[in-house]
Amino acid sequence: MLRGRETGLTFVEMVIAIALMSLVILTFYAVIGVAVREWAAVEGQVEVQQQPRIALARIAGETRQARDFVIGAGGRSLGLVKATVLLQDAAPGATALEVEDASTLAPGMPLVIQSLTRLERATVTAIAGTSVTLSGGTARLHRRGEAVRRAQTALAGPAFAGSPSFAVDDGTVLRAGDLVAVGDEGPLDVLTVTGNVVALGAPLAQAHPAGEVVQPLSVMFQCEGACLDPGAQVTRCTTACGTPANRIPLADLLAAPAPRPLFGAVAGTLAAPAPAGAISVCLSNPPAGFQTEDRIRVGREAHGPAGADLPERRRIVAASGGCLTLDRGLVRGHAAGTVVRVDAVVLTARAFRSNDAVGGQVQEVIVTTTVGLRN
Amino acid sequence: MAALRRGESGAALVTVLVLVVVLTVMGVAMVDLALTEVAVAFGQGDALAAQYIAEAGVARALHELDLNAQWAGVTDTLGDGQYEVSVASAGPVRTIRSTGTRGAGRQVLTAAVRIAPRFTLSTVVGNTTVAVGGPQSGLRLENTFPSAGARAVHANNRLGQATAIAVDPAGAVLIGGVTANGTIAGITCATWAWVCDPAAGLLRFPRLDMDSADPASYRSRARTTTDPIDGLNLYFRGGDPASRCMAAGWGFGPRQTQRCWDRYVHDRGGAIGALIATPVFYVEFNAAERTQYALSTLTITHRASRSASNGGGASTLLIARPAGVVLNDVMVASIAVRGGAGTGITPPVGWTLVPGGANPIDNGTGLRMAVYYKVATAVEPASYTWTFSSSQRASGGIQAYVNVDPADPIDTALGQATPSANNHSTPAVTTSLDGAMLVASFAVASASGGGNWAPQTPGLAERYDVASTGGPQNLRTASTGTDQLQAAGGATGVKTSRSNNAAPGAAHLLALVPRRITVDCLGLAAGAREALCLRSRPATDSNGVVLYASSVPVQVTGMIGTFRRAGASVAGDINLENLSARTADYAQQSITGDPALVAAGWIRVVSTGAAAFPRSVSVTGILYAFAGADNPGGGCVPPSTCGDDLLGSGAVGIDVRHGADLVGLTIGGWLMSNGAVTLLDAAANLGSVTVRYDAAAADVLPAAFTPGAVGNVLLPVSWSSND
Repeated sequence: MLRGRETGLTFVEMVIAIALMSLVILTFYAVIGVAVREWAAVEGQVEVQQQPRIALARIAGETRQARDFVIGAGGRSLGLVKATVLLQDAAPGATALEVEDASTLAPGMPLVIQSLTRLERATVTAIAGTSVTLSGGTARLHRRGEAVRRAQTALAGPAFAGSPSFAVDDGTVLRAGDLVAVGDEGPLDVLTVTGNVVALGAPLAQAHPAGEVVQPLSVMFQCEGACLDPGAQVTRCTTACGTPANRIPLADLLAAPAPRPLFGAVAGTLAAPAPAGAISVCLSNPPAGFQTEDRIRVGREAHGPAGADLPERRRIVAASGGCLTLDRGLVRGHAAGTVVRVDAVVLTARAFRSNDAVGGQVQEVIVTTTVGLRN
Repeated sequence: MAALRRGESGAALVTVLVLVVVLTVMGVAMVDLALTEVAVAFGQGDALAAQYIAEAGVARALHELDLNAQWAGVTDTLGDGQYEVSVASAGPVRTIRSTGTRGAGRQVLTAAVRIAPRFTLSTVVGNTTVAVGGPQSGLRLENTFPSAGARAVHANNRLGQATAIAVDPAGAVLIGGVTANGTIAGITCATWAWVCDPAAGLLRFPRLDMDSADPASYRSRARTTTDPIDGLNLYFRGGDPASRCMAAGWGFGPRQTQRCWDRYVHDRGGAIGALIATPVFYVEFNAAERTQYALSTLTITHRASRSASNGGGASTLLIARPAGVVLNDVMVASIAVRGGAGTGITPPVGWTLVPGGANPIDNGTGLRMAVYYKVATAVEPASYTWTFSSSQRASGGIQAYVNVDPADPIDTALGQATPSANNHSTPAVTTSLDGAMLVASFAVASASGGGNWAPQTPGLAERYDVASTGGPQNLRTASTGTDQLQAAGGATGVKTSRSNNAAPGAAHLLALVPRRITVDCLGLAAGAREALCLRSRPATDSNGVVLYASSVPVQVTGMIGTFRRAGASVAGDINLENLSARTADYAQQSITGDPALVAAGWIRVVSTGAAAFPRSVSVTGILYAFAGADNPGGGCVPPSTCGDDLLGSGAVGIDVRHGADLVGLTIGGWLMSNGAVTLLDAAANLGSVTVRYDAAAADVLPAAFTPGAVGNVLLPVSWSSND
């Protein structure tokens, strides 16, 4: 039997205790909830930031190793001409090469070994890891460190805008499924190669003169669809890129931040012919973006009966009023309209998402970086 | 058991404990997440820092390699990070591997650069002076190699001339930098689009090892390399048993080195070297050997001689024409007169002072002797009169010869004053052909009457012996003319005659060229010595008969060199025969580590006239000319001195004066000359000269050209970082 002093909590006490506890718990819950939401918001923001950082770092790394690039319509795609390098000297007559990365080469397809200004061509018969077997011996000594890439060809005649095909000097360097660039235009999917006639997956958008270089691209980065929010996706692809399944997602949530393109380059065209010896060139409709110390290239690689004309690379020592002063004179004359391009790709990405964890909060980041070509 | 006091009952502790546990778990989780984010942020920062540190490592390597081509690498700190740089060498290529680390970040960058000696990036490297362009347009000299270190022209100006580089812009399109160790004339540096620096200092001018005993010298290589078609070597020297010229079935003697070359080119149908690994065609003429070679030779004979004195002295000396002289006979006159250098001598019309050293010869104030020659015309006077600037005693004679080459009568000549004695000797000379007639003239400043002289050299025939008369014997002169046929070309030795009176004298020796059926080189002086002729038309004799129908080189793979060492000087030229006579295009390529053309003397392209058809002449590779001086010193004993730079030569090294219409001359590679360089288009026509830098020539460098520790240019080859 309970004694008077040993009775339990009264109902009122219980109610009060529960009420107080509820208040305490609710208070903590509010505090925890805020913390959880903040954590989710920050986590989301970090995620939004990480996506472009990782994706652009990948693209930038590959771009540095490239020798040339093309940017597709609207700045939504980027095609790179990548090179690998010899890991060992190759004596004259060598039928095997050791390269750093054979992924940019292909069995049965010709390659070129580049020594400063000259190219030697050979055809690959087999690739095993980093060892490349050639169908015939090399003609000259090649040194470790020299660049190796797929062989290129040139337009055999003018190619017209709207044409779905064109003729090249040498069709053996291309095959169905290749990505190619024709002069400044690309990346383009090759559907078929019949003799020296190359058929594309989509018609050419620009006209090109005979002799303009047609070069296989090693890799393409593309912002899918319209490259707009929501759900934009950047993919990477190396072959048969007309097939969506071959385009491997690199990052979700990436889009081009209007009005800037995902892939851009600072380029202009010569307003007037530049003779050999010109040390200052003026551009049409003076474009923004050319800055002192930028490295530029004047003209594109072109092939003619006398061999290849490489673009002239120079450094800008002064830029004003649409005219550029170069570090040294041009050695060839260039026609009005010749492309003058900063030898770098401008990458600009916008990552965007609506974070449901924090009530549909819009989270975004815009990242931009400029990557110079080093090969 | 103690009773609960009022107020001490309930579950607060439990509740608090539960809350504490929950909050602790949540707190730990949040802190953990936060720490993860912090770690990610730091990791990102470290990775970025590592990238830049690795870039700094590459920049450090480029700087160090610029200072020292053998730099192997370093590990160094930068801020709170570090880079580890290693450099692997493969020939001229350096592969730089730079690993940057900071915290957890690590980045590896790999780049390859080529080390190129600075002089290998100039289209023209003159060790003395360079002249580019003339009044006629058609010359293009350029260096479009994509490097800021590339130059079109550099001149070391070793001999300190007032102008190091002279450009005539009216006749030259010049593309590229111009640098010199001296004045640059003809262009305005302030407005030049490329580098223009008259104070650029000296570039290395490494010497090639042409003829040492080292197996790697070019002569050694030519002797040990065989042409698989006939199993004979690539060494061309007439009369040398070690040369293919004396192999069975060839048998070309010491005066037929050029013929040996012509035969070889002919046998290969104009295409040489393609079947041979790194061929070196080494041509070594014999001393003073002529490019022109004889197919047959007539024998020179003495027709007649006459002599006279002016008795006790006069201001003239009259000598009758030797009997029987007819058209194209060659007469040699020797005139001795008192008074030494103070006595001027004026020859009769048509007589020419014999060229060569020391003529007239003066022996103090006592005696002067001068030797003249004349090719007889159809009508000759009955006598000839020499006139002196004052009245002096004089004596002399004329010797006439049959079957001397009237177009090129004198092969070589040399005179000297002789000390007071009875015996007087001429200097020795070296004849450049077989069947030369040696004419030795002697004079002495004293005479005892008629018959003063007696030849001492066996075989030396006396043709006249005459003396002035009157007064003391030691105020007279005595002269004698002698001759001797030399069957085989080469050194003559001295010729001696004895005078009755011992007195100061003079002696002179000349060699007359026999009339021959010859094969010549168009555009080259008739008496050209030790000059290889790269033919433009088939070897044809002076009667117009083609000797070797395919002796025009058309396709050449490898190096052609001419070189002969003679004490401190070296001899051997390369001449491209007048290009307007080209019967086919010419293409030479040598890009596997040897120059294309190397000459001990000059490399010369002098052409005029019009070609029948448009022709292309191209040489791809290095052109290298010693300009007659393999300085410093006369010998090259590898490895002690062969790596030394050449010091310059006052002679011409490379001489391109191309004026042949319709012929395009292209030299791709680079030009090096120890002497002066001249490049111009010599005529206003459709011919052109293009000299351009061709990196193919520099892909594999001659051993002597390999990069030194300093003075190099770094050329980016590739970038293959794994980023």
